[in-house]
Amino acid sequence: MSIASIAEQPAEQPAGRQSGNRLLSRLSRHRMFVAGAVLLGAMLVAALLADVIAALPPDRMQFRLRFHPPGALAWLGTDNYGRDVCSRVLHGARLSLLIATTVAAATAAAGTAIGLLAGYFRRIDGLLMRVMDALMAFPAVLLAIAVAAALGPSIGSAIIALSIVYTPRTVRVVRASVLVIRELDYVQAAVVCGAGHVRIICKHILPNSLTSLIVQTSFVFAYAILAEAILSFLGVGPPPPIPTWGNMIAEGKDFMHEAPWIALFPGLAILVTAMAANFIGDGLRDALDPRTPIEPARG
Amino acid sequence: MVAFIGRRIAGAIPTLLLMSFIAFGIVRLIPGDPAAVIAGPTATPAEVERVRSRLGLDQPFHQQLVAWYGNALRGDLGNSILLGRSVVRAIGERLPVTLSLAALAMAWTALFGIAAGVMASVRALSWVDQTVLAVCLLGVSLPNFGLALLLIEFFGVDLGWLPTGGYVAFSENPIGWARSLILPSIALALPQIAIVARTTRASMLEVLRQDYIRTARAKGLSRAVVIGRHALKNAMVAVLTVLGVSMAILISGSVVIESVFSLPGLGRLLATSILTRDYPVIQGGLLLVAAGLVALNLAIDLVYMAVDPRLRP
Repeated sequence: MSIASIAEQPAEQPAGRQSGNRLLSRLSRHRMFVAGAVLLGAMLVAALLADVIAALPPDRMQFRLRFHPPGALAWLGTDNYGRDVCSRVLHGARLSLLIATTVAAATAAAGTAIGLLAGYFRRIDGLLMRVMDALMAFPAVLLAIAVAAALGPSIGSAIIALSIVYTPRTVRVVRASVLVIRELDYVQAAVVCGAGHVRIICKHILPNSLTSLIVQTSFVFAYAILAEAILSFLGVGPPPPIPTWGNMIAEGKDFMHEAPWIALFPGLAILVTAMAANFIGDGLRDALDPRTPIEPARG
Repeated sequence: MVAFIGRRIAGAIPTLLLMSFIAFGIVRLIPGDPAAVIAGPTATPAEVERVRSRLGLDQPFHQQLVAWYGNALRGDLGNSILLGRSVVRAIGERLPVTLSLAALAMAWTALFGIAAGVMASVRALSWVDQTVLAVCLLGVSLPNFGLALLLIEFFGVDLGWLPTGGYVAFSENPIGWARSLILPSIALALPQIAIVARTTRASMLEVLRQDYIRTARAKGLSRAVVIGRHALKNAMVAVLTVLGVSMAILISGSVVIESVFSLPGLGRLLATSILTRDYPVIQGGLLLVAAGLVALNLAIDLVYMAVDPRLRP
């Protein structure tokens, strides 16, 4: 989603089209970005095709097949209830990707709105940033647990909790770039031409602060994957019958010695997804910064 | 200098007030009635009401808040609902565990993070550099509770070298203390080591390109002096920022790690208190943690000034 939106965004400005193409070409030469996009794309396809790839539903218990090691019968083994680990990992992927995507989108939207307001209207800057500072003064995990506990364990509350935790960080990033952009000559020129606040913010400031927002959002996605797993692991994420990577690890941790695959595969899924998101974030950062040389020789 | 510190502390007060207000509000949103829980399942409604008024929960929100601020200023954070002791005492018992864990993790972070970053930067693009970068990528993408489980399984169960969990106080047995903290502190530190190593590497690469480094080399200074005294010292400003952020993240991350290793620390106390709705402990603990983080940020600013004379007021 983010790749398409950067590619389209400059096209609205006549001179920007070329830079959009250049960005795509820079991205396609960035080996880490390509690897990340492929990994995340594969994970997404696997999640969408979960019912096709895995023969069994994720909650089908087969008591005669408990703790079955990975093999032809069950590709990634079965867990303590005889449920197919492969099926659970894939269905868990749907949930993790859904939660992380929603959190990234919500954080980007709220962070942009608050960051633009704080950076542009200096009178409310102090108040808004104090609130953000206060939210950031909480240890992230504790704030997320508190919000998730307040709302009751569910998918929705995990999304709200993580969005509240990560929004202040995005606000800071957006506000910082707005503070720089609003002082630039072309913004001043727009003011002189009599452009209204809304026009200046939407036409001149927002498009130019997107760079840092996009990079930040891809890292929020990676954090959200890890944080959702932590919430589920601690028992305040979506409740147990729902397969999430975090609660699969929590259930599997008691069998680490006899049946390590129960916890290992969801752990690997988290690792791969978070790494792919980090690759994409690093790639976007390098590609969006014209000073960074991108040669195929350097990863 | 004193004026600067005073201004910074004054500036932190609105943040702390807002933060405690949020903490106060959130815990009251958690569904369930602590008075009913304490009174027990067989209590009559009248008994529940008595417990409620004893805890002050029958008063309006703003009165509870004002009373709590008043007591907090006198150093009294109230009594835990479930632990049968004062909040200050409950936190005091748990704090050494979390501080030991965070301090040790911080030591690993600074030591390995900076060392790996410097090694990678002086041999940029070599296999050393590539290895450090690859390990860093693993480090930031690995869920640290997953790493913790692997460490327990390998070093605790398979090899039997280190305990699989639990805590030994330093005063009881220093060696046992160190043994009980090695695995948790490594699991906690790894993501931060990765971030610090990346920052050190980037910052060193920037500095090593500067003219004065070439000058230092040209006048025949040894490699160690050029890297250690000239380059690293200037690269440290960016690294210090990240170390400060790391410290805050380590405190936050201790919640999970303490749960995995069954360490009786502050993070686990707060997480349990949130789930059991022990209001006074949550409020007091969060206030203390936030105040600690504010103090930490102030300390970092002071270190900045010591390192970089341009930042002195």
